[in-house]
Amino acid sequence: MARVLYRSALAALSLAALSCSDTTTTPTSQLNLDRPVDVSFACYGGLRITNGQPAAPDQKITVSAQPTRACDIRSQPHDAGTPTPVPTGQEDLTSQGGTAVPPASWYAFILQSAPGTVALAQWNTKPSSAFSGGDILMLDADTLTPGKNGISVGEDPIAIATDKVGCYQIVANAGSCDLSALDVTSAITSAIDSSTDARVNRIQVKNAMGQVIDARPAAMVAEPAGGTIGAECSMTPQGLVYVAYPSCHLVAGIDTATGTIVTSIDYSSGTPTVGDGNVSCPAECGGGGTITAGIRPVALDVEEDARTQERKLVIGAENSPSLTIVELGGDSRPVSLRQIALENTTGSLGVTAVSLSPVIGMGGSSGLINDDIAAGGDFQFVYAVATDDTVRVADVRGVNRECDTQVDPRLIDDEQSISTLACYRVGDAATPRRRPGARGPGIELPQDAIPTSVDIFRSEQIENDPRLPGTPAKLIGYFGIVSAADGRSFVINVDNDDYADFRTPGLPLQVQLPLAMPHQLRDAISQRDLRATTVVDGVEKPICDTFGPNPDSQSGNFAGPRAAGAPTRTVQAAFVAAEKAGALPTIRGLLCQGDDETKAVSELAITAPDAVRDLAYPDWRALNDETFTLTWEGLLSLDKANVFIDGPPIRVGQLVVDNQGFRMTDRSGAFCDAGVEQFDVLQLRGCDPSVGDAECPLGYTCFTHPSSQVAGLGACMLTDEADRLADACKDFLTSQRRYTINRTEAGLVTLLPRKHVLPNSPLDGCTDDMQCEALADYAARQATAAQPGDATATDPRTYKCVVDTERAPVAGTGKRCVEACTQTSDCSTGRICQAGFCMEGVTPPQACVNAPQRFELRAGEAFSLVGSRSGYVHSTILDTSTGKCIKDPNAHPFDVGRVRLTPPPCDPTADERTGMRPDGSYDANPCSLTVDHTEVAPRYVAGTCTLDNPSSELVTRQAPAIRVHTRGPTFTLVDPYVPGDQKCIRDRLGNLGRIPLEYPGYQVSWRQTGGFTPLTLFINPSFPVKVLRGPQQSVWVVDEGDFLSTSITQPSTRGKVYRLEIQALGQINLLE
Amino acid sequence: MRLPSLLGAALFVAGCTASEDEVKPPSDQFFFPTGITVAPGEKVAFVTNANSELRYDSGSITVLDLVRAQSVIDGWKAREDVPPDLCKVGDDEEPCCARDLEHAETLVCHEQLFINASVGVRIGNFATDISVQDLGAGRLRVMVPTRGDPSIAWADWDGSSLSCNTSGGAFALCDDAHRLSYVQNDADLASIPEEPFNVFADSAGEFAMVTHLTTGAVTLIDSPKDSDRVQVADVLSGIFAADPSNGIRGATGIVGRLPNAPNDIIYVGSRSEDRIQTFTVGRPVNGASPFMLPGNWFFLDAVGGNNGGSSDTRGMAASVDGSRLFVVNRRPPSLQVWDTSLSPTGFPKNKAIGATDICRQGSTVAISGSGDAERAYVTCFQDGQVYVVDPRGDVDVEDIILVGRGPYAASAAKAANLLLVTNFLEDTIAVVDTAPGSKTHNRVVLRIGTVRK
Repeated sequence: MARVLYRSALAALSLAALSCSDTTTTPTSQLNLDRPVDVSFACYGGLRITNGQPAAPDQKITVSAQPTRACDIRSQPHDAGTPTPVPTGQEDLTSQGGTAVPPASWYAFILQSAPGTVALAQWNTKPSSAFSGGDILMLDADTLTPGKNGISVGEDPIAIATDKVGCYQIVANAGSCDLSALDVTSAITSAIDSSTDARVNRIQVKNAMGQVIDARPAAMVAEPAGGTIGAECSMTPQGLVYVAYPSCHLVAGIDTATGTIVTSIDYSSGTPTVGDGNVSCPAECGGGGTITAGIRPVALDVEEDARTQERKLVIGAENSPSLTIVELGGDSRPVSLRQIALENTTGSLGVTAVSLSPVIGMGGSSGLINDDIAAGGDFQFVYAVATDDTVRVADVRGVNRECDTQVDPRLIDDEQSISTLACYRVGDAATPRRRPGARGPGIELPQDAIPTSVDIFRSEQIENDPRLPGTPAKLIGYFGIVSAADGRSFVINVDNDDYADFRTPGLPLQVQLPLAMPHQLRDAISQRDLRATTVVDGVEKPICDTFGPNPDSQSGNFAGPRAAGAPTRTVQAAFVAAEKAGALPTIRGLLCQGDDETKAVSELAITAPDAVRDLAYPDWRALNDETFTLTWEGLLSLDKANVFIDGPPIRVGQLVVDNQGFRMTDRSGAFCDAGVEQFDVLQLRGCDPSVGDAECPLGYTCFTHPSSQVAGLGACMLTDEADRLADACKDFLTSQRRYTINRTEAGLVTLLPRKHVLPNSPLDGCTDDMQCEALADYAARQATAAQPGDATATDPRTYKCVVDTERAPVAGTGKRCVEACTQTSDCSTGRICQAGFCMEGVTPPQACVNAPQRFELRAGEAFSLVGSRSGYVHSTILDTSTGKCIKDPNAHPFDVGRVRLTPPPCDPTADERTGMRPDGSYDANPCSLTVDHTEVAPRYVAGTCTLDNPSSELVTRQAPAIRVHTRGPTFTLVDPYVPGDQKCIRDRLGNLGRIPLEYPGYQVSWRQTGGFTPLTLFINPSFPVKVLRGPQQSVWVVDEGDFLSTSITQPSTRGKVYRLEIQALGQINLLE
Repeated sequence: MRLPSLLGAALFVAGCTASEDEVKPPSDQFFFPTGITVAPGEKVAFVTNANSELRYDSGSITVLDLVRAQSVIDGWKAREDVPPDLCKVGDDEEPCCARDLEHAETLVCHEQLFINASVGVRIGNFATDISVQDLGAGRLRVMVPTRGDPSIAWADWDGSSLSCNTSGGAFALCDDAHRLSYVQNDADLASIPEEPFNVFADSAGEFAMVTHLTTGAVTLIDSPKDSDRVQVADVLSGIFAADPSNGIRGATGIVGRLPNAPNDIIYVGSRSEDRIQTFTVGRPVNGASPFMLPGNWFFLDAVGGNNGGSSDTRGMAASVDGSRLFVVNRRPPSLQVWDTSLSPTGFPKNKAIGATDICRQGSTVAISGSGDAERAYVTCFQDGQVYVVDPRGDVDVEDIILVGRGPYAASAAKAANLLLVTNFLEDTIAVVDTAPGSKTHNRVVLRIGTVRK
């Protein structure tokens, strides 16, 4: 016994170890659901059997399943005190001696894949507006078994649908390649009365010749609901279901009464054709069939439009870029079909989910759905979840065209044709270019979320709705809901009848196209048109002393995009004294004359004039809430421990020094991806000796050369070699180790030793050594608070005006001020004297750099523009023919992440907002210009450099500037260079030419807030797999994923189902 | 010989008097099989036996004859042939194979029919994984992390037998040179971190990397193909953040994007953080030991964003062409598919493209086929199942296969259309027919081993 116990204990231990059991303790909870994947609905309750005849008191009253329309009618809104609406024939005839018709209720049949069961839930027929949470009750199909149980229906069921007359639930089973028919009446009865059993019939699918079709279904839809309210249920289901069999390249229309395929859409030839039931499929469940290559239909939707009575079936295939639109006749059988080809640039596009909208009258902003009189005309859309992780949109109302949802709103500002805005045809020459960064024509979800499902909903206005027009959660019109694998469910405007349809001429901030156009993600921020104004005596006046609403308010952010504060200069006193920092580049300032005060405001602020803000934020969809930093010679990648955007700031590679040069290699091939360019800077970071050898591999030590004056910069060297190599590596180890990047390839960059150039070397080239010496002294004085006329600081080092071939060519004379020397002691710290010049880095012997090398990539002589969410944007790609990194010739010109100081001049004929010239070509971006810039400047006593009282004043002056269009904001950087001061700080009377004051690390930053924030449903699913439309346009989200709780107060769950009211998204019923 | 001395001490304390032969593990049986890998060429598969009960003095690596298995399966599938061979069971002989009474499509056979008892080797206890490095010319090298020591055992395959002991002998215990416990095999240097867990061997790069479950460290093993100078070359710790609920850092899944091509990128997952860290391996030009070069990282934020992210990664696998990365995660239970094909910049896209819900205790994933035939097989320890996932389209579970108790790891014999699954809790290997169109498609057609009661 002891031995057995011993072995058991060991086995238990080993099991625990090998299975790596979770260490979290989760509370027990009764869970009703287990991996739900689909939901269907039924109406069950009292029914007078009229068989379509007028109601009579003597007719039989029963309790049974009935057409869902019966519950639709009973759920209609009605005035308080008035009777609940009932279907014709189901009226109360008790006054005529008849028996009362019991009420009917809605039932949800929740399909659960893992156990192969259907769970039941019930709620009363009532208007959507009467839902308040807690309205839905889970039922137990087996009261004799603990917990709430479902009804077994089949193996690996994948879809459930209500038959035409509402009497059966049809289940498609992928595990057994058949259908199950669940009798609704018996199912509900069994849940009420445990002595009865639910009746489930297995239906073998057969072709027209009676042969069994043993193919594995992937999707199923039932023909539109019909049937007669007042007819008794038959012993078999009624109507057709369409089932997608991907391996058979077939969508079969199956008569649910017999299981016989009566019609089909066959893809086996590569082109869909309507056929009959003479089909054959590989026997996937029975085995033995050979699965051939071909189109694999996996997505279905069928709709009957309430206005036109048109019926359509839409089919998507996971390996085909074409949508198939099948026109159905009154019997729901195919009449004709057509295809819509979706843009497929990769050759691998497919569709995994589809939803067909009703016929929608597009346009209108009255707060009422106005389909019949809409100015834009009728459209009908298919929304398709595509394998490029976007939602594609196609207009199928009589035409076959994919709609481009990514047209750059900058280019359609003036468009007022609702029908044009409703669908820009993909591929049409008249369709404007897409917004920069768009992956294709489809709707993109934020943060690259993966869409899993989509459905389209109609949302009516609510009477006496107190919510203001434009309130994000106030939905009037037609809207798509898209679930994503990360748990979010997004709302898409299809036809928003509570917001303008196009921009308002003369009022640029009133309507934003990304918020108005169809097929755009809906925004969650309210009061978007808020302006910094106040009304005084009936006159609107600006307010200047504000940055707008607090974006961090607990009540949430509101208003439009804006800088949350004044742009900030981050200045190192070692380079520029605080008193002189005002001369450094910043974002353009404007004069704001407000009711409260007059001050300089940023062009990015909410206080900027409307026209300026409109130029600054031309595409609200492209705006994130993030912090932008413009850093002179800044990093090209800024990932953090919790942020993945553009790569780690410190990378690790290997250095090679041989007869082919000096180069850094990255075996993962990340250099083009990082956006590195010729003449960028590679800064070796060695290792930090303060953490010992932690940053070096085993066997290596973090060696700091005794002569090194560069703080915190050791080098990993083999422990047994470090001392021996100290002398040989001295120059390398004591230098700053900054190099110029020359050739760029995906896996390597060649490096050039970098001479130290005076940061304020003239942009037009220096003329002689004397000028360089003067500029060096000027630079030295920048670090002091002394007035320029009084400053005496000098730079003791020597500078020569020479051509530096290791840097990008410079304009004018082509020469730069380079620090010169005769020996290293002549140079400043960290620079090595070689060939008469002070080097920031030298080519080391290979033996010095055998260890892994940590390094940074920095923009060379340019600002790097990095957004905390958008990262460093660039258009560098790999030229596979040469192996070099090149600029993508097809890139959008707004895909920029660096700003040099001397870009081409802006074309005055180009449109400021679009950046396009009259001929349709893009202006240079960035480009240089001169602008009015308002700032606070020192105010001196006349003729002196003594500060007056007040000591500062607002000054508006013409300033050199650079305009930068990005995917999001457009901004103007002023004072990229200065003439220098003459006598007083910031008098700008110097005659130094165009000299930059930037130094490596100088930074301008601002926090952008009020960016586009997508409206998502207020639910927390783990892994939502399906969104579907329920009774009264309710939104049902099926969450298949487990939620593993780490809280004692919250149970772990095995899937959930949510019901939300489309008109009031905060009303949520949760089943779990 | 560290292991025997420890074992001896243990036996002494336990008061047992078993002889060495009595505690020597059987060379022709599975005992708590864990890792499995089909060798290139698909003639053999290597199986690690964890000896998790410590019933024997060591674990082992057994060699499964896949040619024989394929032959038996072919006959069984085509004609329901049952091999006439007799196997010795105790003092008796009985037919080696018989039809499974509960699963008519399954043939159950003794291990003896497929295991060549003389070609395996003995290793430490609690082996967790196995990976094979192709040395060329038919030679292979297997790497096995063993959590008992902890150490990493390695053995060379010359085409006919494994060897990990210079003194030779059949079913020999690996010697110290083949059991890597210390950095650079030097006991004066540091020990490898605790709990070596998963291993990935890179044939072109001539290295292997091992993750450590409870420390989050990753160990690099230099494994030159023309030398037996195999040693721990580098150890990196602190790669992953600690689990906020228990403070543990864990590195788990590991896979190379293109293990047979130079400059492979290695992806490492974690049980404590929803992050995948990539590495490359650098070799200094001076011939010194290689080292790991941490590269980009990305977050598993495509699934489960609403409940803490996918912070419990387990098995990982790559498609044949390196264009897809498959990640098993337990929170929420999901198989995530990542696009690791090269972007226009020449760098992997590392972008999530799909996911599907799977069993709750998914542990490892194996890939079979390519293109339309590519499937991912996820072992579900708790449920005794293997989930078959079709990565096309929106990524769906195509089938769920009952394989036996405690399926731990799987490996695909792609040419033979077979999937081999180790059933840890019942000492068997389930062989699944993965041939498209086969009548027994995705069903266990052969169970090797005697089910432990």
